Amino acid sequence: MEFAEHRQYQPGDEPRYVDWKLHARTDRLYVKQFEEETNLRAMLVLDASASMAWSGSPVRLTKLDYATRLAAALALVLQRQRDAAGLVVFDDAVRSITPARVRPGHWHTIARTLAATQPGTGTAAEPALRQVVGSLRRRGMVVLISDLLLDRSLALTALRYLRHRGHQVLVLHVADPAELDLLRGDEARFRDPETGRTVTLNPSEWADAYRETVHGVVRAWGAACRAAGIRYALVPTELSFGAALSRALGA
Amino acid sequence: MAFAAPWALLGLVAAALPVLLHLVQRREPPEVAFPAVRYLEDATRDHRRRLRLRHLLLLAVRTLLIVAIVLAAARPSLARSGLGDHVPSALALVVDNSASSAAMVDGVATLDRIISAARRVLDRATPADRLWLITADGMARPGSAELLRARLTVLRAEPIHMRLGDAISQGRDLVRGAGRPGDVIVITDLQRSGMTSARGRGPVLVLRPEGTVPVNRGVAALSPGAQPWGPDGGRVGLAISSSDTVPVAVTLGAGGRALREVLVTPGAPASQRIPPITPGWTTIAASIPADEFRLDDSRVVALHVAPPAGVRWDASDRWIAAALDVLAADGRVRAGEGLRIGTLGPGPSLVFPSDDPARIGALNRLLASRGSAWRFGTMVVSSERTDSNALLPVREAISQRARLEPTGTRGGEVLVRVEGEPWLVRSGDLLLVGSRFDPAWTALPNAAAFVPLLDAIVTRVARGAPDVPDIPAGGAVRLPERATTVVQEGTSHNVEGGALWYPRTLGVHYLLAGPDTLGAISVHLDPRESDFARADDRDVRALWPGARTADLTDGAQLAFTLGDRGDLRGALLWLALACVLTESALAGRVPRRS
Repeated sequence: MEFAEHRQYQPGDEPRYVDWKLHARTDRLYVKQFEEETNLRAMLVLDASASMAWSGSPVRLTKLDYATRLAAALALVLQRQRDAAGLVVFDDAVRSITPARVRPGHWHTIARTLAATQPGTGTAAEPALRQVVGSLRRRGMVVLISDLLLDRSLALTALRYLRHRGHQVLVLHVADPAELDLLRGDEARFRDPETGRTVTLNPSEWADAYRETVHGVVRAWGAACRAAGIRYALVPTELSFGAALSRALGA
Repeated sequence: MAFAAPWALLGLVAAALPVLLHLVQRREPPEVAFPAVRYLEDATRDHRRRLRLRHLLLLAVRTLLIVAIVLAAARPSLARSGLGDHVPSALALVVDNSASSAAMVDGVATLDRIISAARRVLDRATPADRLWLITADGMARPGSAELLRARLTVLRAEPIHMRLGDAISQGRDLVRGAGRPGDVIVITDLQRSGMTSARGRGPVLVLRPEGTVPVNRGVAALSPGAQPWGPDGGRVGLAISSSDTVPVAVTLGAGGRALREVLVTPGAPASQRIPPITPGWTTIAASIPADEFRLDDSRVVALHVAPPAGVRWDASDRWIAAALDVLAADGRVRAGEGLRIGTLGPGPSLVFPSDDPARIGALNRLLASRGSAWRFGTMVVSSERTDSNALLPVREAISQRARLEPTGTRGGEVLVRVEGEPWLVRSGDLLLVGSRFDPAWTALPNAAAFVPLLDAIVTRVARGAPDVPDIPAGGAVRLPERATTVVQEGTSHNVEGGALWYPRTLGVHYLLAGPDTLGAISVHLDPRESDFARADDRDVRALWPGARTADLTDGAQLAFTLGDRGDLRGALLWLALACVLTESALAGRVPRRS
């Protein structure tokens, strides 16, 4: 049990938690609070792969920028609820781990980490998620923020493992609107920034088929998550953060 | 399938446009970063085959659209009838029995081959068909197949020229008027000279012989020149036509009597002297050895021989005196009673205006006393020229003249004009000239035409000698007002004076008014009929667009298959409309919003 902070005594508080030394110095009653007393321990798992550093429009945030802001907002909300929040940033490997804390100022640590996050290369969510298991010593909550352009079966296996360990799991599927609906236009060669693979086609001709495919993918993620007891929410980057937060927290 | 406007098929090149546009638009596309390439791969894997099929369909539909429109513009048609009986049709059968059809080829007359082919065509006719037979005389004779076969039996080669284009036009009019599908079938030796453009549109089948064209030689021209001749004889112009230049022996004769035999080179005009002939009407004939085409192997012209004209002239008028001396030396004129030249006498006179204007009035009074329809008027001093006509073919310069004015008396005739005004006129036996034959008045006395003009005036105009027209058979000639009878080789028939007459037999036709001979008409074979050069199929198609050609011997089977054709334009335009709708439906599946 780790000391967290002092709080002014209130009637009904356990006398054993009164800090008598502090009372002697200040002549006021304070009680000690410990981290075990927080409601929740949440780990935000942020995908910082190359595919996240993309936006379909210059007036929109990239998916990574949007995701970092969303993660910061979530962390702040958790902190305000006196829940512990941690952060894991990964691309093709785990980049950084910020343990879940409830201390005041911990949010700034998370925010600094988020601000310093740069897009990486590939995506490998499964090792990052497994690493989260080690950092959460008791049951908590895991929030995966990603565009989900990754190996779905491996990612789902890791997510199911987390769920199996008793954690609540929330998947926030960050997507640019241009990924959900292909912009129509002249023929172009589309290159995947992660894999370098290219596809040449005329978007005007393929838009319908593409939409059908993407919606199928979204439906498949949703169905697979529901089946595993995992909450899933699609968060387009055009969505306001307030709406995105309520979608995330209400998912 | 046949096309009425085959040139429009050039537009089929445009059918390659969709493919070309597709190829032109195939350029290196720009590269864009897109994280969700895996979804694109999934989408294209599932739908590529369907989209490719749609692309192929669009390409095919657009190509078919262009092809359909181009084909419709070419006005295609397709035979409806198969091998069985045809639908009731109209058929104009043009049988070329012009003079050239009398030529013998391999021992058989061309006309016989033509008639046999015509019979084979008629054998395919049914009682429900409407039929016409058009021959070289320009007549279109309707009738049943049996009746037309009977007409073919008595059909003979006419010594006239046939304009095939006119016959086709006539046939097309008849077929169109019949209001049913129909053909115009032309059975001909396809002389190039008979190829003329045709009016209207409609299917034409030309049946023509194949093989070589027979060599032909003929008397192309026989001209006795100005008539009447004097009794001392004269010269005839002679020309021979042939496909080679080997000299031909020509026998000349007069009045049915052979005079001499001369060698004439084809294509080179010759002039031959004819010895003195007794005054009166006679004939000059030229003949060559018989060949495969007999109608042009001889030619006859009428000749009027008259005694020298008596003329009185003033010897002091040196220009006239010199010219008349020439004519007298040639036996054309003699000094004596007859035409008085220069002054007005009691008889026939050639009157000049006085060079003293003060005496014009007295001259006019004398003319009036003779009942002249003309009088001399004001003087015109100007640089003018005579109008060209048969009497004075070359326009001669006139520097001074007295206007010739009609007096109102009937019977005046203008022979030569100057700038549209009368210059040489006749009234009865009086001839008035606007200018004196003096270089101060006109350049005529120094011109080559002066002596021939005086000769014509003295020997023909003043004596009222008749014209002796020389026309091709089938041509038109206006008969003299007094003519009542035409006689040829002992056969006579009545005619109406002043009417147009179309002689169709070769030789000399004498024009009579009771017992008097008014003149004669020489009728010769149209020289175009002597030229057997044959047109080829390309000429046929160029002159009669859409026409088909076939051999004379087996082309009859094509009869009744040309006009009985369906116009495919409607079907093609419906197809084009269907293509447009299909294209819209297919293309509409691919929104163009960007």
